[in-house]
Amino acid sequence: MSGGGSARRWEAGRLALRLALFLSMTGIALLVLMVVAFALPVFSAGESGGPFSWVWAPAQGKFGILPMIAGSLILGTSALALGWPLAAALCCWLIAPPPSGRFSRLSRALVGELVRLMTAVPTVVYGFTAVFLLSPFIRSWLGGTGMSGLTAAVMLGVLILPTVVLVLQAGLGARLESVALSGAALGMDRMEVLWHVVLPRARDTLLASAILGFGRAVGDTMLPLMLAGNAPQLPASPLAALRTLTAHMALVTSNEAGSAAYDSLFMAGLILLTVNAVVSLCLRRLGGRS
Amino acid sequence: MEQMPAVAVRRLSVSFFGRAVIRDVELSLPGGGISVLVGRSGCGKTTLLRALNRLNGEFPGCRTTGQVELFLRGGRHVVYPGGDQPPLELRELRRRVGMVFQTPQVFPTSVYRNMALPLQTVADCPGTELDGRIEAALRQVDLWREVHDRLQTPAERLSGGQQQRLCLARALTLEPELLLLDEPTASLDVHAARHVEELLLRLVEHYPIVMVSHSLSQSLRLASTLLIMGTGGTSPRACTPEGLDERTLEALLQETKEDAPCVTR
Repeated sequence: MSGGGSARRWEAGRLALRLALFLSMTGIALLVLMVVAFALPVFSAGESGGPFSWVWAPAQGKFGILPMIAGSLILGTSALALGWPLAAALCCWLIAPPPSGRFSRLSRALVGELVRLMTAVPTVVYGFTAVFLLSPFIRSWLGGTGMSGLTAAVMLGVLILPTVVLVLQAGLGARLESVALSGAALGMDRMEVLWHVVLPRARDTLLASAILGFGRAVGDTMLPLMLAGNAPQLPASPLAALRTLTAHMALVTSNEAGSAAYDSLFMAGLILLTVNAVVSLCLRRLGGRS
Repeated sequence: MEQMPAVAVRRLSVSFFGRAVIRDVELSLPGGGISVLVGRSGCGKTTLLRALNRLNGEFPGCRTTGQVELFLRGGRHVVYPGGDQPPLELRELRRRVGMVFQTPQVFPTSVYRNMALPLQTVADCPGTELDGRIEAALRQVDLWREVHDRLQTPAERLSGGQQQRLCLARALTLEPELLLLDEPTASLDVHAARHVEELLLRLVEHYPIVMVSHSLSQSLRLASTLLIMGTGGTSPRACTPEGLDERTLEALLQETKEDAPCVTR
């Protein structure tokens, strides 16, 4: 009977759904469990060369990853400081054009398309370009080797720009559309409505875009690896080299296996995982509220 | 009593992405009383109303030809470029021609801020006059008594009828000389709608009103001039509501039907 057949198909579908759920949940749980399990012994090792110290010198048995944690935080924050205001301004320009002007509409469409295109650029391309263009520029104009926290921060700022613009555009654009017409009928232009009505109420969207941008900047591996100089130290200036957690993990995994240095990576992994989990929890909370 | 016109529309056509919504409309609206535009949905009532304050231009793909003349303080003004004088500047036009929409479009902020914002940005109202002008406008729409002790609460917490009266007050703070209302009671319950209607009958002593209405009975209650639009977006037919009842008005609406296909947007 067709009724029985559809019931059976329904049952099979439900089973497939449960299986998918089970597999993905187990995968995530195993990942976390494994990272924690491998990181714990490193935690309890506890002597002076443990992960929570400031010196990374594997040859001398010192596996401190604090410089890398600091490097990640410094780079994430400075990328955000450079990229977010730019992205916010760009978003305002994109969604609040003056009422007329074919040229302005065209240029906005073009820039909007370009921003969307930027999300698809592999970070290695940014890195490669910056090695040849930005890095020599910084070396000759500001000094240092050109492979510095500043170089990486500028490129990470560029990297997070489209993410932040698109998040802001989605959040602010919709709110602007809902009030723009009544604002226009009162004689206000779109920029005034955006500035006076939409932005003061958009703290959640602004914050969400910043958190997402920060998460993206902290999580990126290729740009800091290629541009930040990778010296495992606390940088003395923006022109000094630094090493991030992600770059550190990439560097160490590429030439170590099974050593104590390798084990300390699990601690680095745990910290990265925690940072990302905190970022997505923050976003969830913001999403829930708005 | 022969009145000066408030609005004269000359050969006005509006199209969106090449599709004509209203075409070659000729119209003259009296300088007092409530002119009510009636017609089937999609016949271009709202577009015609929005043509009076150039609001169609806020939508993409809009093209307007022809002219609208407004007779405001200081004489005759033209709304669109290409006339014998430069058109009214957009901000001034919108300030002098107030508009209220079908659904209450309050800003998602406090009652006070809703009123203060247009005053500060559009009318350059000095801070010392702000409170006085806000109170006066809220009193004009019978809202002061209801909200004077909660001006800082979000405007969205007011009831639908209160929100719509707030929108009306917000337009009135700018001291307009003509009011455009696009089905101002369509989203309200009967009680709130009646309240707004009574208000309009009072406000019309000070402002000429042009409104779109879907309700024939409301049109008959409020109109001093009825403008019956056909479905082809052509010039509406003007008549007085005297001696009309809903049935005869419905018959008139049927009669005004055009051969041209109904244009919706």
